[in-house]
Amino acid sequence: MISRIRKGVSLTKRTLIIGNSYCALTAAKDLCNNGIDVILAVRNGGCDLPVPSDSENRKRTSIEVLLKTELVSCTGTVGNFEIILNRNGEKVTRTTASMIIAEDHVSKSNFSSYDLKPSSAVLSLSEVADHLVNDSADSKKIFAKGRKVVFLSGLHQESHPVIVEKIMRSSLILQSEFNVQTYILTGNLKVAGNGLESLYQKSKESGAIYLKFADSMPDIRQKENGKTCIAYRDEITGHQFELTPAVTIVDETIFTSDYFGVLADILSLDRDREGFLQTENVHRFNVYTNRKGIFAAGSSRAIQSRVDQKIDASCAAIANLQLLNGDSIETKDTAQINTGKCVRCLTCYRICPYRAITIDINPQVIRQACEGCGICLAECPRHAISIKDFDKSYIFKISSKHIHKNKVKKKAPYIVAFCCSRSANQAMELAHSMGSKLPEGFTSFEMPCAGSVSVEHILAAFQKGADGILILACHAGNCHSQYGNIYAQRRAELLKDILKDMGFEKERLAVHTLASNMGKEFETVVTSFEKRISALGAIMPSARIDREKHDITR
Amino acid sequence: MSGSKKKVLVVGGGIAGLTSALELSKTGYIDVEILEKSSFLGGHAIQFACKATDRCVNCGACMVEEKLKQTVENPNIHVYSRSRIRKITKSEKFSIDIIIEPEFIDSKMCTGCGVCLAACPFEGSVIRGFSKNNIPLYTICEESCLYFKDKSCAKCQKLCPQGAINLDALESCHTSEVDAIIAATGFQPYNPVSKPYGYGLFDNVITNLELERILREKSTAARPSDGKTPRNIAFIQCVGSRDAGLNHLWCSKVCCASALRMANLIKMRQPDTQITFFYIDVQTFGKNFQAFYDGIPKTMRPIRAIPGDIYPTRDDRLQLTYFDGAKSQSVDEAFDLVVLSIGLIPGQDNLDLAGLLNLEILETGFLSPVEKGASGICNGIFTAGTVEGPMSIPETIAHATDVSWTAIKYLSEKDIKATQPAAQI
Repeated sequence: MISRIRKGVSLTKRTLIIGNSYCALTAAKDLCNNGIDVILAVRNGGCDLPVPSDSENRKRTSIEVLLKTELVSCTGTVGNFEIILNRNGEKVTRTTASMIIAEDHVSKSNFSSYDLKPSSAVLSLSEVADHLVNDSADSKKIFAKGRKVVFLSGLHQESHPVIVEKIMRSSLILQSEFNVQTYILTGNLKVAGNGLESLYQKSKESGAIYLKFADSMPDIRQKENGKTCIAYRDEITGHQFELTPAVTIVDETIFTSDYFGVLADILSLDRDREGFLQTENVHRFNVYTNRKGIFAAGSSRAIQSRVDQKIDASCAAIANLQLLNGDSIETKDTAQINTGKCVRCLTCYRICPYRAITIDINPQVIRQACEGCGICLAECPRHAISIKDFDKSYIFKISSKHIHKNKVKKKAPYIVAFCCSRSANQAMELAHSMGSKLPEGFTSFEMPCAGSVSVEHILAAFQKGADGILILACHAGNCHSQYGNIYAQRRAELLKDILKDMGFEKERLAVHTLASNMGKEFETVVTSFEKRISALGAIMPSARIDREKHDITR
Repeated sequence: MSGSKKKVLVVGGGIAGLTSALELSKTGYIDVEILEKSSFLGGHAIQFACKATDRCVNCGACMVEEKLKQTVENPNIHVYSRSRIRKITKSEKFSIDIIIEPEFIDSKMCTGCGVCLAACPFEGSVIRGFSKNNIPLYTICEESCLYFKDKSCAKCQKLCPQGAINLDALESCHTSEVDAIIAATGFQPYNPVSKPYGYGLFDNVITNLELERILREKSTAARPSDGKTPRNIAFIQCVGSRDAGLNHLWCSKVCCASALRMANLIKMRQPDTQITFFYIDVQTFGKNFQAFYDGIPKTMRPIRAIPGDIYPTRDDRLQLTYFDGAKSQSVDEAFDLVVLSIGLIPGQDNLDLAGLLNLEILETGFLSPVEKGASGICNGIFTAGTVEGPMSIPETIAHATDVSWTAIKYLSEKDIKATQPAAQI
């Protein structure tokens, strides 16, 4: 199986793009012009893809557009995904080296949150924006000169610059072209977008009136004729006012469509709390997901403006090319399963955050997808998994050297810290360069992820005479492997109970979270831990003597 | 996407410059030179603190650390720090004359041991960088160093165990031939001295950037005047942004996020601190903002007003006057520490840079990505990051990646034009 995958890598230079958003089409064109074949699977609507001209298509690449097409299943891995699509009832199979998901989000009108029903006098923002852009005859009738028009913006729910821009643009057209008086009733006005503050100024200069609410909320009632009556308190004067607009325009909230969930299930992608196909994790900047070779771009990963979507298309294109044009897509030190020890419990398959375990006859590591985090190594109940240099013997080798040094200064407790290479280990180096003094009996081990610190590692360190052990992980939500820090916490809790049963203080094992730029905090964590361990004393006074003997006999 | 070896000059070593350099070098055929004005790479963002509370808040500050590490470890990226451009001439390629200020501490020899800092009798003469990946980690400030005043002290040079310090080092020049230039010179923070908040007058009025540095160095907030823990802190937003009086008609985009995240962090580490947040409009940032926003009233008191005036009180506190909308009247209140969220404004070198690179300056003073009179045709000069306007760290990374992609496309087009002149009509 593995050899087949490897062969696939060198053969296919094809990318599947899902969606027909501006981002999807831009990325498709860019990739096609740069030597990558593209399959574009569009679920809803058409696709205005500019046909590459001869000069653009000089690298002899193709774009295959599949309309009314949904993803049904996906097997395989980066370099060779085997996908099944449903094109209007017909089964289509393709292979692709990578995937870019650039589906559009959907927006829903907030009628119900204002307790309003759509009517000829209560309209949704998109409806109005479309009318105004298409300059339809209706709009002249609805927005007759001199009328009052109210926009409701982010009063019950925080809005977004993408929505606010739409409101301000519509208001500007209504003020300057239709000569109606617009009132924008708003919570926090979201102007953190390019050019939005100057658009806000322009809209005010055109005569739009902005009423902002923080401590009080306007009282909005819908009359029987469908129109609204809005009473509010002016926060500066404290006076009550009432507005009876001819038209009330209700803002929108942006959602992820159901298809996002379908895609996440099929592709085993982690989602954020709002359902977008990228978790809130800085390691996923810009377009990465938990799966190598699957990128989430544009509105698939967050609420985005058109400018953001164009930027994301570039980010997806460049990341995709780096992957497909790279010499090797394999991580240097990947996990290996010892089939002799493996009992096929499938723990590794279940927990791998990168979906890098495949089940053939035995579970196997897909080297292309493995990121070498070592979570499987620590979780495997049979100790059947190894990663170069990170097994237990690594600790035995280094710690005996350290204990020898430490033995000379008998007073200092021996503290062992297992540091995540991405965060705590960097923080430690930062602490050193900023002149922090770490305790004398302190020693550290760089681990690929806090999740790779196994019970074996910890017991080995205790066995080597550690008086206290720290596991230093990334902050929740900052783990490159998404769950590594959680596994580390859980394992430590379990071990603490065991330590207690064995007659040791459970304070001798602790987990702390740090980031790479927390040099000062690293020092604080280590010194205060050392103090606590000092107070507890040596883990076993006799153990220290044993240790000395051990070293002497060497 | 292959072709002959190319070289790109990236002007500015902040997060935009580092991202561009890394993305370009990943092609395998583009060598990058980074030109940095200051002694240290990483720009403003390398000075920021991690603002995680019980979980990561996605500010992106740690990503700057990671990009800096990757940059200094990358053999295809060459860094000129303490450098500036003297002249650019364009023929087939860009020929760039670079002036490199004297390198008093040899970057190859310095181990970052800190003996020079410890030995220096005059504070501010030996300055330490912000990250272990600042190489060398120390720099010597000519303005305050006694050696440059009267040659009365050369302790650091004598004591450096590596012999890495040469206080008689001279300015040098270098000419680079490059195929494209990316200007990533960033923003400058607004100087709030002209605002009525007594910045520069009262020790306990600081900027949000200063608070970032304090939190990074000391991990807790302290009053500059007496080092005491402040019991109540006021954050004032939009100082120098969204200000029609200054003609700063832009939202700086990052200050709500920075202030609220720092406030939460302080509240977690120093739970007895009272925090008041003065604002015009709270801006959305990051994912799941609604949940973050809903949690704000639990940790601080948000007040939708911008204080008008500040007075020191007799007990060394600061009295702010603001309009309370709920009571419809103005209120006086004293605080121990006032933090001004200063705006991101156009970099001071924008004018010079625009002249050198023939770029347009926007009405706001930020740089336009389009060359003067070029009608959108790209001539090998690009702009990345906050030189174009305010951006957060994640936005800057995305923007610089986008610009790198445009530059890569430009270089390959140029290659094709050069090899197939007949095909071009």
